[in-house]
Amino acid sequence: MSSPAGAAQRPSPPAHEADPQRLAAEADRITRRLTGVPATPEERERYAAATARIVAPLDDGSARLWELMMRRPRTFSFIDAGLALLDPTGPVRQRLLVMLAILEASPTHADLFLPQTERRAAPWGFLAGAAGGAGRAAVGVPLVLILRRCAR
Amino acid sequence: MTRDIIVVGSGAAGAIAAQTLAGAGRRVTVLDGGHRDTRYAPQIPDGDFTTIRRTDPRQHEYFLGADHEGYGVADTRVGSQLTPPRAFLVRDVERFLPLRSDTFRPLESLAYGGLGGGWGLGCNVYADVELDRMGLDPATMLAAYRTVIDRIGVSGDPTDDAAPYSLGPITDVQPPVFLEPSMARILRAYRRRRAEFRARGIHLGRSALAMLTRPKDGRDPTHDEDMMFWSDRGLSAYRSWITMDDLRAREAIDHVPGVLVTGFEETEDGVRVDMIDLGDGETRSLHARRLVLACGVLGTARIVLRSLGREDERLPILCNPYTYVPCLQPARLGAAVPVHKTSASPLMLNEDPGGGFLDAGVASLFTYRSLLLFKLVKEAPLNVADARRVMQYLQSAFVIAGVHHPDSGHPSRTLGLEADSGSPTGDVLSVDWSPTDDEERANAARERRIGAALRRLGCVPLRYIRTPPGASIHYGGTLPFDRRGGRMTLSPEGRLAGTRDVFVADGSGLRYLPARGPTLTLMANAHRTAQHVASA
Repeated sequence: MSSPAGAAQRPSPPAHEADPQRLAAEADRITRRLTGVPATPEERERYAAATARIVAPLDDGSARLWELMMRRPRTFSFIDAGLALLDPTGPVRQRLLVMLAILEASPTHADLFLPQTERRAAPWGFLAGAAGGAGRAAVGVPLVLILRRCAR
Repeated sequence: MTRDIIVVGSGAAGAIAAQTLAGAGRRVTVLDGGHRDTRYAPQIPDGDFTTIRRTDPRQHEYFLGADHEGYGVADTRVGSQLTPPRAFLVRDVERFLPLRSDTFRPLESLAYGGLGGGWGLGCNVYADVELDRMGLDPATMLAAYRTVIDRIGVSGDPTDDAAPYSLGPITDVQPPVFLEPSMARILRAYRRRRAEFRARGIHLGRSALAMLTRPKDGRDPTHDEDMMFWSDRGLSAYRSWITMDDLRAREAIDHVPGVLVTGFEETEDGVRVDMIDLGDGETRSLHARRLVLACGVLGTARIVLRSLGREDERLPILCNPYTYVPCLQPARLGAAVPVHKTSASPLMLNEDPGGGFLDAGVASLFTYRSLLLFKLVKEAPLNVADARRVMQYLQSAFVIAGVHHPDSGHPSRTLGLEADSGSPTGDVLSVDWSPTDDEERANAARERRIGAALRRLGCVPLRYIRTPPGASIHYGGTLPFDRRGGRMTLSPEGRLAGTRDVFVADGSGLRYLPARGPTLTLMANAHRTAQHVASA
């Protein structure tokens, strides 16, 4: 074991960030990206609860990026890819990782996370992920930098 | 009322000391913080990790935590093993055991069973030269090792190349745990080129683990359910609270939970022990004929400094540096991972170029599954969706090497108490611990040699992640063993110098810390010390 990473309480989010409908829409958007299906009511509730408690509030720059990801789904994975390199532990990525954790801790999606137990996995998903991930990063990093500059 | 013997702490050392004292007919009172997991343990169903993941709709409660403590999304450090069901181990520590340091990041506990509740189960019988350097008598320690191994149950292979480092001369152990394909592949690679590895001082083999593979004393053998970080089903993994539960059930000890011992003072006929109630903050005292401090090196240091220390006095401190090395085993990419596997480290790679045990390093080898994939995705420089696909495929090929280095101490590495009126105890522990340049070079060289060996074993090191000092959770040397009886030392029997009736049974006396984990040695030393206390 090593020293723990705690779930520190943080200041309450701005009212609009805590709006239940908004949070439900966020949970759906992220879940569709990750699984292809919308979030269940329980998953939305868990996302809302976790976001309220442990996720950092969005600063102005992050809020603009987040807004874009929600309004324009085609930008979602590119901005995510850019932030994975530029701000991996920032408030946007925290929201994505919280939802990912919620989905992992659910029987419905278990097989998206567990390794194969019976036979060797085909490499296609890995290759698509690696190539796609690299490509999205190549677009996402300059995109995020440009968006940040435009926001100033 | 004067009690017979008070033992402070119920962890690896305290539980064994209490057991030995009770077995010798002494009346023992154990004081501890007493925290337990009453929240998650009842929620976790029986079964293996994979089946639970596929079937339990309430798994998010214990995998992620009712207070979301299992997410860790804002922090890139890895403290993954402190899962929500294990979080009780550190409850109240920040408040009651405050620490100030620029570099040192230790783990302490006020739990029932102490840090033993999260022990990785690795058992190591140290060689005579190591024990001698540590200040321990090899002959009496060997007998103590045998006693403790018989009590707690240890599995391993006493015949393989790692046996001199894990079990020494001890052969009476249970068969080793199941070896999953990744680990079996590494072992086969080693055996094919055994002479070459041994010529380079590499000795690889089965870890000795405090994990049952046969039934013992009402405890079940492991079912290899890969749930070690979450539950203690069947009690196959040894936890110190198992000993405490047994002692309490037999009414062999009195147990006073919910207290933090702050100091002591010897009286005409014994020792007064002062404490704070963790609940209401009230102070109180108990009196005993003898006092045994076994609350861990840092906890004991606080108590001793408050009780006997001079102003601004500082004590030495040892701590093993720890680096973990995630590796990729290309032959296992996408491979099937059996449902049944152990979460503990089944293989150990000993790096001992001189062949003399002293200054040897060790890498404990693990695979990764039951600490959840999102923690790996978090570390990947990719968008979350693609990272999930990549990590899902790669996880069967991940091998983690946990590398520990020895520590002989250095005058610059000390701890002491500083006044702090905001602390419940009025003080804070200040720790200075940094490696010297020579140590950093030596440790880096050792890591390169271990990395080279891993590559020859088919595992490609990806990164060398040096954890902060203290993260190994192996500490020692604050009250070094010294026959001369100098200030702030322990006699070979564990008596605190300058006292009549105060003994120390944890790792405080150890003058040297081998790289291999000390927990079994702490227990053996505690047993040995308790024997002296019982007969003194």
